[in-house]
Amino acid sequence: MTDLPGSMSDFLSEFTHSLTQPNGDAVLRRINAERLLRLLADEFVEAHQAARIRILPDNRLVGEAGADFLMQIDDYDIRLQFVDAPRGVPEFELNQLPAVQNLLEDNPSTVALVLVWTTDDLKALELSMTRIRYVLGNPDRIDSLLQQTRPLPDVLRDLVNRQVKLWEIGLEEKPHTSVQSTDMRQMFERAIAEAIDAERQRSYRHTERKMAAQNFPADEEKRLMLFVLSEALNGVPSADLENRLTRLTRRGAK
Amino acid sequence: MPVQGLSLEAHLIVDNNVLSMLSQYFCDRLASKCPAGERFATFKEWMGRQLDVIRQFTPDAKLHSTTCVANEFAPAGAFFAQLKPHELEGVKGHVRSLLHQTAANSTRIAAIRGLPGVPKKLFGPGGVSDNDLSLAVRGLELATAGQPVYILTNDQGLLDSVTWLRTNTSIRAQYPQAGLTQGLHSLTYFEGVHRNCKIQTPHMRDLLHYALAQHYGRLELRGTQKGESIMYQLLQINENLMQSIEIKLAAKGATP
Repeated sequence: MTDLPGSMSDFLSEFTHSLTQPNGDAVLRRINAERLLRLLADEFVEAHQAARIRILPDNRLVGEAGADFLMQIDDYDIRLQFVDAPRGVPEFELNQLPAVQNLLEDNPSTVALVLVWTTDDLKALELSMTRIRYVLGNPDRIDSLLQQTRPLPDVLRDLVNRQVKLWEIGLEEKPHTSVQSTDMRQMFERAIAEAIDAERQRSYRHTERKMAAQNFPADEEKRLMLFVLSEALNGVPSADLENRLTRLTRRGAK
Repeated sequence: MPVQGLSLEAHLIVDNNVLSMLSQYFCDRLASKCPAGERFATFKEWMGRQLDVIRQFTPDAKLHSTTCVANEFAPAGAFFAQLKPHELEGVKGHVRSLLHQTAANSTRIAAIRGLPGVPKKLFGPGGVSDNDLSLAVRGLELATAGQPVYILTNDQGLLDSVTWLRTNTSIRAQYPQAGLTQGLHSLTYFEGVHRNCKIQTPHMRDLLHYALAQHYGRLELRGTQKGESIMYQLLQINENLMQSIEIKLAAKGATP
């Protein structure tokens, strides 16, 4: 876990739980759950080396607005909130949902809040605002929600994979092919030429417009636009390019 | 009002780093207050007293360890450098004699390293040592009697190993009571003892501050904000200790 190194951090965590948990057994469950989470996080980071993953003690950083742990993956984050499991199985009361809802509302950049029960296999459940609202509106569905708990590694893996799918980016390298790469400049040049020809071949009712289309300096403007394209590909700021294109409009309308 | 927090009644297994921390604390904080000719006698007596304080919570009046871990105890520093070799051996022998030692079970240690799905970072090269694992195995063995077992250590790797082992299905098949074995930071246990009024608050506070200073003195915190970390942890220790004192006083029927 990306926290302060060494055992002092662990001791402080144990000390705090011994003061805040309702009884000795809950203290031990929480201590073990945090250690398991740290081990799991290490393995998760190792398995997803392409992504930049950090796990931080969330409520230590942001206070009550935070969950127990914040998992930062590239530019999105997942929050993890522990729930005690005195009977060794996930349990959750409806009156605990508003606090979870507040947590999500206070952290809009969070893609998911994951409840993690202090069971030996760290059973977990991903919650979204939609899911919370649905259960608050249908209290009898809370049991079916609990039936969807799965071991934390599975929940995290699915969450991360879903983000990758949304971006349509594969983390693995694409195989090299023998197909020649397409020249964007050629494509653009062809498209511009076709567009200008199409404009010039339009039939105009008014003589002035017909004359303007015939006199349009197509080759000159095409050269300018291709130059603007190459500048854009070389990283020239769009504000500069916009100025040039504005000049083009004035010249074209002459 | 019941004293909140951990139950202290358990078999206790003590790691060498706990003995080292206590002996170093004595040397750095208490030795200079002793008359020069009585320092070593005072040290032996003081160490014995500290271990007696935690021994009273055990069901068998023993502080367990393995022989290989007990043999690691080698007090260092200017205080012990004044001793002649045979005197130093005497000090080591005395402290080791305060522990109930059993031989390490090397077969079981090897079996643990070969368990399927074992975290490589923890149990592979560079992870926990065989000596550390001998304490974990001892913990699993003691738990077969059906009573809780605490392994007191300041080693993060050993704490994580014990947590992983107690929930592992192969270990559970071999040691059905594995769940009774628990790794605890030694300071967590000492603080629990403090809350039970067996350690005075000024001593507990001093030990915690000393441990924090030693921790940061040892570490090269490259890329971290060392000053902020120290300040944050110190504040948290003090805040937690105040809460602990309130619980302690409430249990005694007093007001803070």
